[in-house]
Amino acid sequence: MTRLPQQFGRFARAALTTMGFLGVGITASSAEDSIKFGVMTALSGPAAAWGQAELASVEIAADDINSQGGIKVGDKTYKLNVVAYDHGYDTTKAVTAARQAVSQDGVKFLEVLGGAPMAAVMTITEPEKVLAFGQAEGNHWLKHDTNYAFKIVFSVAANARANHTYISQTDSGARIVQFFPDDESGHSISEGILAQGRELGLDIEQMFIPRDVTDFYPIITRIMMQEPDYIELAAMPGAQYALLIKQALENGYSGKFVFSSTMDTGALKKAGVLENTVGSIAAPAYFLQPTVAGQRWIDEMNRKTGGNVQAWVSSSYDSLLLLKGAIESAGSLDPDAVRDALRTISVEGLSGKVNFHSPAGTDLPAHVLVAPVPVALVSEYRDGNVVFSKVFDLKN
Amino acid sequence: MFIVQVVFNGITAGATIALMSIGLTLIFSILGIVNFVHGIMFALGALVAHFATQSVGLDYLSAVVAAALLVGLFGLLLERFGFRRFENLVLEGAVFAIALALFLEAAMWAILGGSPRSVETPFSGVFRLGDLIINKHRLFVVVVAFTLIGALSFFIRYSRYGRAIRAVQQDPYAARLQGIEPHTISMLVFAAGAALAGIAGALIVPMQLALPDMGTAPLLLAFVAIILGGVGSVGGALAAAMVLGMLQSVITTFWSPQITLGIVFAATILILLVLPEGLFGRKS
Amino acid sequence: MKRDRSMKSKLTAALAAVALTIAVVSVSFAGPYMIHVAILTVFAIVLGLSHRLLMLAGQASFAHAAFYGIGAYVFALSTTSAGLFSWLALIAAAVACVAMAAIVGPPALRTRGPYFLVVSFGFVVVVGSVLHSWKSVTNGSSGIIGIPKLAGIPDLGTYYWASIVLLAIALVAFLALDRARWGLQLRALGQTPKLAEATGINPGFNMVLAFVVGAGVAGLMGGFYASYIGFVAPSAFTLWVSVFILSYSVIGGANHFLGPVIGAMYITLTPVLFNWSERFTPLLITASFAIIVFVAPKGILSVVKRIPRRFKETPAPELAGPSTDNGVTPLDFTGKRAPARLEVRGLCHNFGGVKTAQNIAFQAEPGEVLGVIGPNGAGKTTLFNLLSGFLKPKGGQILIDGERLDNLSPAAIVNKGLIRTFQSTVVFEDMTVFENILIGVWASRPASLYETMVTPRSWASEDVAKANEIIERFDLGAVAKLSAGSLPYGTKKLVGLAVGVAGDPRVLCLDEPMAGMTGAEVEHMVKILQRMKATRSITILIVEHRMPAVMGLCDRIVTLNFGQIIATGTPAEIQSNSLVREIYLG
Repeated sequence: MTRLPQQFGRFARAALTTMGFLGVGITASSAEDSIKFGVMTALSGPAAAWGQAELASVEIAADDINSQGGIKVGDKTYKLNVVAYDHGYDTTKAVTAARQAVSQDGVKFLEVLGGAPMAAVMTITEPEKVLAFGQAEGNHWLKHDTNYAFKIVFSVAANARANHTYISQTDSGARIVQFFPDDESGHSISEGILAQGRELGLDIEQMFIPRDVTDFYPIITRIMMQEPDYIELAAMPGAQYALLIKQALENGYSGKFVFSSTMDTGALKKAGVLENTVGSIAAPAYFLQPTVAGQRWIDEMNRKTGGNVQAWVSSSYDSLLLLKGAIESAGSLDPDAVRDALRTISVEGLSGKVNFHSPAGTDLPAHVLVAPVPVALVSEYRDGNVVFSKVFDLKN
Repeated sequence: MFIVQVVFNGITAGATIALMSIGLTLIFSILGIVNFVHGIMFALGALVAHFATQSVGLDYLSAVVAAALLVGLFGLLLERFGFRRFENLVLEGAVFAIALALFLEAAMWAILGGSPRSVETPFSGVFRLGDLIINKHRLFVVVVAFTLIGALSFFIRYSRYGRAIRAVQQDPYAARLQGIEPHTISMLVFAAGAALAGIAGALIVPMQLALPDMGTAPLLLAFVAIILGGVGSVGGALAAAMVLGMLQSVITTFWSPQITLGIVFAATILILLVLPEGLFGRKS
Repeated sequence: MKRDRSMKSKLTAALAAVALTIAVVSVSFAGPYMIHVAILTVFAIVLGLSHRLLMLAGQASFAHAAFYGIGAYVFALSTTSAGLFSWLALIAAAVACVAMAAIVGPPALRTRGPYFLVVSFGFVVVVGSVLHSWKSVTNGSSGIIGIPKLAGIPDLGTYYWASIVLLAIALVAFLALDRARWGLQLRALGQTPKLAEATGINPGFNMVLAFVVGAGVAGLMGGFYASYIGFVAPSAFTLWVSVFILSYSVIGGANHFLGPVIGAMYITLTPVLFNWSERFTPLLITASFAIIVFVAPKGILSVVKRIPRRFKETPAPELAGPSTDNGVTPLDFTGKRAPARLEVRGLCHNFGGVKTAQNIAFQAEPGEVLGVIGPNGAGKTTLFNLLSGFLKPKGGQILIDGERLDNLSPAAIVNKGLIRTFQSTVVFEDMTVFENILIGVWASRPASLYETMVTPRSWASEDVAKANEIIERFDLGAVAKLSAGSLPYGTKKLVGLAVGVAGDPRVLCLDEPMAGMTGAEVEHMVKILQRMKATRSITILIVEHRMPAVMGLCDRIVTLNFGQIIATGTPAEIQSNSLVREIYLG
């Protein structure tokens, strides 16, 4: 009676292995006139909203590039073909997806969301010489001997520096309570900001909120005991911090707000707290409204995602422009040539000039994306709209 | 005054967990189903409330009722055509529930996308009693929760159907001999549990955002509550839910929000090690 | 039977050779992606097989991913921070998990069923939380990079070969476990826990052992994983990973050892077949998962196995009774222990206000047959439960040849030589009669860990011989290979008796051995009991309602009513006792 299941097990294994190598044959061919750009992100699970936004931004970039003629290498023109992979923040899935992308689907360039998935994917892309853009915070995956991985995430700490410098000059001794999501990116960002803030002599307390918490009353009760002057929001989704602000106001908070990553006026308006945030300080590198390209990008994102516009994914757009420029400048798809070109090229991005550089005081290669120098703005409410006036420029 | 605030925050949190866990414990003790789909029903309740107010134009209270009815109906159909097959197969039924929950969540992501939806409440603003801040909507949630739970307890204890439910809970075969059809009771109980979850979702959504995965955290806490309270005991689930809500509030306010879940679990495990059947459980 | 077996093994060997050839050949065609998937599938299979052990014993756990993760991190830390040699680190990973499971297991497994599920749930959440928060050691959510490969396995190709070897070892090892004594004992525990305990299988110990062995293997796999991928992060060892490991057994069927193999292959390979880069992949995967569980709740293999059984089932033969027997030839068994004297003093027990045992005192002499009678609700079964350890007395003593039994666990009491049978849970329904009796034989034959877990049970010749002897003496040869659940009720009860006797009891407590039997079956049973009595080699207590049988069989009788003994004496004395008459007739 055990014979049949034994047979079944063995045959199943044999059959599936056979299917496997047949499968390789079928999918191994890739179109000759397109470059595949893989996006490894979270399309399911808690981070799906982020992944969806990131994918949308990449697709908008690909559409723009293709509609303007694609990428020219010698006398060949290539279309950019975006292929999406879902890793759901699981590093095992990330590795599997990377293997599929690189070995099976012929993907030559890819972008990865998340520090841990990026590190996992790099175990494959570095030896296989595949250029990978990391939409990820964290200092562990980019090292001085990294060859093919680039960090395209906008530094929240750099943005925060403008805000903090302004505060330290105008309101030193103020107490700031900062909120971060209780996940990998939240913790990475918080470390950078804390060091920086302490350096400027600010009184900072950091709170980490698990992603699924939207009942902020207990935590607000706690911080109200400390009577903060500023509540700083960094790296939280707009919809979440709009709720936080609303509940803080309900609990009697009367201080100011600081936005160091995005200021999602749409979400704030929806939550009915936009007027209450007047007087808040924001860093606008994520503010793409001032530029025409930026506004257009926001409209496209709105249309494509149904309202899920997250400003930080604009760097995914910019990095594709940089990739195009590098390939054309190198005149080939050879990974080493493109990498060398990426280190030196610069393009006009959504909010100004962008390029890769090696951050001062580090031994990293020129693989970190540089955004326009942040300024700090203070908001006013004029004629039913929020208007910003610049109060501080870090360049000075 | 802060202490009072902390306590009130705890009651609010406990009320939500209670609404979820009471349905869950009834479903488990009577149908033997570990209902991992409960979190999805919570999210469905929120979504129904959203669409009822935004697209159909109902007022909030009607939307809550709509959520109860629609999610309850969903639960009824789910029991009849899904879980009925897993009678007496507890583990397999649990895995089926997990698979179904994963599928429904994936479907919601695919259909609705990642942008969160919101619902307006007619009870906006706060009452101020000195230093004490009482959010009007939260008060509404607490009042509704306790009213529903009280009504349910009364129903189970004193009504005919309630007696029938208790009979099936104790001995389905004997119940059948008394003319009670256990399958009918199963459908009713599942529908009621689902309706409670749907109401919970509709009640909570004005205080947060509607996303397909919004039910995962409440579900987790509800499970902890029913195990802590002893499976099958409505009173136990309520008491445990209040304990958990209070724990959450106290730990978040006086220590940090990150360790809350860890401590809640650690406390539950410790209690279970001393009382393997939960606080109010009886030996099955 | 012997020819059948060699045919089966030849076929198995041939299939194994074919599969191996395909595995060898296909690697030259398959790209790195398929090889990677194959390696992951091997990991999944071994995880599924190791998790199944506890499931066999009847408990489902969500803790497996936690051990997988602990093993991976121990490997990662000992190689990157402590510079330990990779193979030693692998052993360290397994040892760490064994230690952790040995600490966490005993308290956790005091809870059962859904409570244990939640405890294991909590465990995996807590471990994940520690991995995230203990940044100084684990580097938090960012994970640990640069984990070295296992020495001698430097690249993808060699990893593939190594994993094939690993798979072969795992399949052989878990097959051996399944075929060994422990495999049957775990299965007995999972299917019919009460009866298993009554044959001396200690639930707590066996469950913890299954948990620990499973954890050790999971830890080992964690080390393999870490060295293969070269990177570990908490997100690879979440609750969901545990859920999927659990589902391997549910999808494939936990009963057969290939079940988790099938389930693991299904879950790991379907995303590949549906292609990772499709947007609707999560939908398709979860939908197919739900559909399979719905269509085959007990697993794919259970559906597959049902088909041949339908053709094979022939009605079980009626047992007419031993052909050569009119007198009462003694029913002898080899190597019996001497019968013991059972003494009960002042035994008390109550369920709340209901007094089930009030100062019960009696004794049974070695080799005696003592009847226990009384109206329904008198406390007869309660008495047996107290004697066999399923209930703890509130007061009093139970002594077997002077040794106290009253606070021991049921399994320990069986070890001391007091065996009882049950009124309704008579046999292990899903096992053959032979297997049932073999389990009974083990009650009096403790074995070393090696003999329990490694030696195939068909090789333990003494145990097998004893089981065959019992089968022969009870004349069950015609039904020995049939599943016990398919037998007519009377035959089941006979098997139940045989199982009890197989354990070489010094005191045997039979709880209504003739209940529900037809007239002919009762006669048969009585004859057997008479023959057992003739040897005077077991002290027998028997609860029965069939008065003619009781009066004919017993040396003495004890009468209970409302938890009290109201009369003791020979059958004749009891029959003429006015009190007894009153409670039975008036």
